[in-house]
Amino acid sequence: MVFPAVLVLVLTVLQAGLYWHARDAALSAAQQGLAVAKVSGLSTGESRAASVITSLGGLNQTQVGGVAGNEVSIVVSGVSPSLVPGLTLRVREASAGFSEGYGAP
Amino acid sequence: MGPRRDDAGSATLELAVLTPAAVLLLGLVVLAGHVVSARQVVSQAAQDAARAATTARSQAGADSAAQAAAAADLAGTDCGSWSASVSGALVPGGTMTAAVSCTTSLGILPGSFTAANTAGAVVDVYRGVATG
Repeated sequence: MVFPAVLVLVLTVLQAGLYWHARDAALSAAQQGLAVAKVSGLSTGESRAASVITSLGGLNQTQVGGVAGNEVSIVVSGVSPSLVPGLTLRVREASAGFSEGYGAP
Repeated sequence: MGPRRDDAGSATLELAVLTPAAVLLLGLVVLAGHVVSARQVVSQAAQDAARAATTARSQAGADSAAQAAAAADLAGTDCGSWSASVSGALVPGGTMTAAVSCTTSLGILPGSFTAANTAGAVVDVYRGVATG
């Protein structure tokens, strides 16, 4: 009766940490992917974001997407690892900016 | 009469001691998460704003370009209110400095946190010179 409550308390703290790490990793991947996408195009940026999130870890069911154009954006989404059965914490981080290139004066 | 040797009630006592500590720790994790996330977003926004400012054709355009770049970065983040400003000379080889600050709520915690950062970017040396 009491011991499960202690377990839930401790796991909640760990779950919060895992969730924040997943968010942080997704945002880092999106930002680094965007930096590449601005110069080298969307698909190169997406693969950069994918490799960053793979090396950082901490995010499951990872999906990388983006929008090309004058304003380019990279979206990294996934699911935070869950310590509590039945709990699904979705993570979605995006980064947007203007692509580098020649413009009309 | 010797001391009690059975463990009855010790788990309840543990829970009573552990709960405030665990709640405090949880609050600390959430606080750290918001702070780190705000700093990361603001630092990126400052870099992008500075770079966007260097590509503008005029001093006024530099300011609006920086605002637009910061807005693109900060959209969808926890930054409820933010401000961005640029300074510097928009001449080839000059440096444009962008300062961005963002105030974020702390989620389940009371209060708010303000993250600020500045970043510089060099104006392209071989850029065209605006006429008129």
